[in-house]
Amino acid sequence: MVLNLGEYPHAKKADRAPTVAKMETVEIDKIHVNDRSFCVSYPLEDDLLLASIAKFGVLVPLSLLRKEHPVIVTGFKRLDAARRLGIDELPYVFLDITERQALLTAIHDNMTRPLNTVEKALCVDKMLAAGFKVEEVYEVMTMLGLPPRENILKAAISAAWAEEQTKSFIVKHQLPLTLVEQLFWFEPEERYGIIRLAEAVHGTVSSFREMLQLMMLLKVKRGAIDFQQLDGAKDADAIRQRLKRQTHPLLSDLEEKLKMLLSACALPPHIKVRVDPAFEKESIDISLRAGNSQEIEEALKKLECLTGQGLFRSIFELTHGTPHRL
Amino acid sequence: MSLPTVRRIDSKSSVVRDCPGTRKHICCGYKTIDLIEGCPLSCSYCILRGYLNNPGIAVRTDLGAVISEIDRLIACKKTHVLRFGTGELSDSLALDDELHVNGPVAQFFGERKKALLELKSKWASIDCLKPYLNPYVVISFSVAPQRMIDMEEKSTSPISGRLKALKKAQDWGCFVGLHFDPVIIYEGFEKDYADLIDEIAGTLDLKRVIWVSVGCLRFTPPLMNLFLREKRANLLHGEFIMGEDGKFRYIKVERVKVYRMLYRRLLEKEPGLFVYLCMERADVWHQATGREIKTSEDLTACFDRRIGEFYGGSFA
Repeated sequence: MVLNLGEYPHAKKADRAPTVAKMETVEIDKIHVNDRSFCVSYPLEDDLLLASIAKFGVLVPLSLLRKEHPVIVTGFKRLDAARRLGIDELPYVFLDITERQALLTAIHDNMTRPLNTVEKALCVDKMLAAGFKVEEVYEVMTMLGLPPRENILKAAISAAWAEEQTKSFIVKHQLPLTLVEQLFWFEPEERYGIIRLAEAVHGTVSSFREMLQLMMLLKVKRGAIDFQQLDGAKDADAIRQRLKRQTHPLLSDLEEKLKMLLSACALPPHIKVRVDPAFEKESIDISLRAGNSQEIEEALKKLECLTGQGLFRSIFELTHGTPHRL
Repeated sequence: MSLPTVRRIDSKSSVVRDCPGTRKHICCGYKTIDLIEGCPLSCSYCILRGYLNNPGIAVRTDLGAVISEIDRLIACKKTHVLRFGTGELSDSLALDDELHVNGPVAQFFGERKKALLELKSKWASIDCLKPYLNPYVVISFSVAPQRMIDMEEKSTSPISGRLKALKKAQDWGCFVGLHFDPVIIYEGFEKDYADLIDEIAGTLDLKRVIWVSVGCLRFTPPLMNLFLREKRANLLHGEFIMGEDGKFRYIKVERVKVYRMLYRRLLEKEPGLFVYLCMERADVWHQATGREIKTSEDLTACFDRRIGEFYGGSFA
């Protein structure tokens, strides 16, 4: 899309920084614009940059590797914005360096801003493609805040080569490479199913992590994931519950039984009974809130009555793992 | 089995530790001697896959210093019989044909006569130890159905080999131990374990088995990630929860069922067997065995009684 400058009322030539006029410029046609060997930016579209260039023009020159058809080393986002704005000449500087140096220049130039996961993955993948040694790649991974490990390196390659839908999902949800690794553990069809589900419920990174882990477990246990059973879940928690019922049927049963017991005894809001979520601890926690002695007496009477009715015995049967009760 | 790179270390630092145990669970109070770190057997579920990040094998060569340290500990401990083992950070026997580190330590226990050394293994080769064996050395093997060994313990000796080695140890006059650890729940595991117990009872003199441990599979979160990545369907067949110690273990109701089944079957074979649960909770002990073991001290006392039954007053 070419943005109409009219959308930016302040984008007058007079507003543009005077230094731009002094720079050497090159016609876009003369640059090898489709060569993205050094591009570590994703996505290229950047609305803020677009608005800035529309108003002030390209202030920072592109760096080009000097060749018969110069190749962009840094400035892919500026080029993209300029093209969308219909600008056909851009300021530039030539770099007389090797291709390996050019890639490192591109990576380090971009490190001055926070890189998203796909951009970090592109740095790793392009270094490997350019023949850097794994140790050299690990060094850059550390600078990028990535653990220098083989599994993370592999996840980076997967993310760099992912189809557009997956890349965009990774960036939109700010998934770390550890989660990308888990996402790529699934077959492509399953991956699309997972992305579709996650997009539908707008969960957090932590809810997505939990969902992925349960799905992996389900896949290992049953060999497949029944996405139909998960469709229509209203939020991430509902998906988690449906998955957990399949991966943890006994625990789900215990939770349901506990819920039924607690709801049947109609505890007043100032008495709380807490049971270990994994039903491991032998003991349960009972707390009560009181504003005076009479409230304490009433609460104790209620607890005594519930004890007489066998409520706590039933709860202890759940926490002690008594098999015949389940 | 191919021998990985072996580093010999002579650091003089302490090698004897209390078994790390696990928070909120009852431990038998065993002491570990870290003569070797790293294991060539590479069992899929091994906790060492999550603990040790050095792929090689490190072996202590300063056995004199190691023995002095053990000796000091034995001299200090008057309240109960100390049990030591070398199988915490490695398999006790898998490398002994090459490294010969167990012999002098075993010989020391035979001379000291105040504590027991347990050599715990999945590698059925004990001939090189024969000259050093004595009543104060317990030869123990981890046992599992052959189907599990084929799937998850690929580099280890088959169950028949392990039982033959135990039989040989009994014939040489040693007491032996059995470790059903880890017990893994998979499709049809009950029958496989029942057959295994039959095979054990048909091979060994159960009256001369000093102890039998039973422990269900448990592992750290990094291992869970590894099992998922490796699609370990057998290991992940059961239902896991996160225990209070931060490790994954089967949900309590499943553990109780497994322990009850194994406990009952083992005692049917030999009512006098001493069967203990490894790293379990007091209520699981009660549900599974009917016994009131509430603390690690309670369990240690059971060991002392058992040792008393086997050795009489010789430790007094």
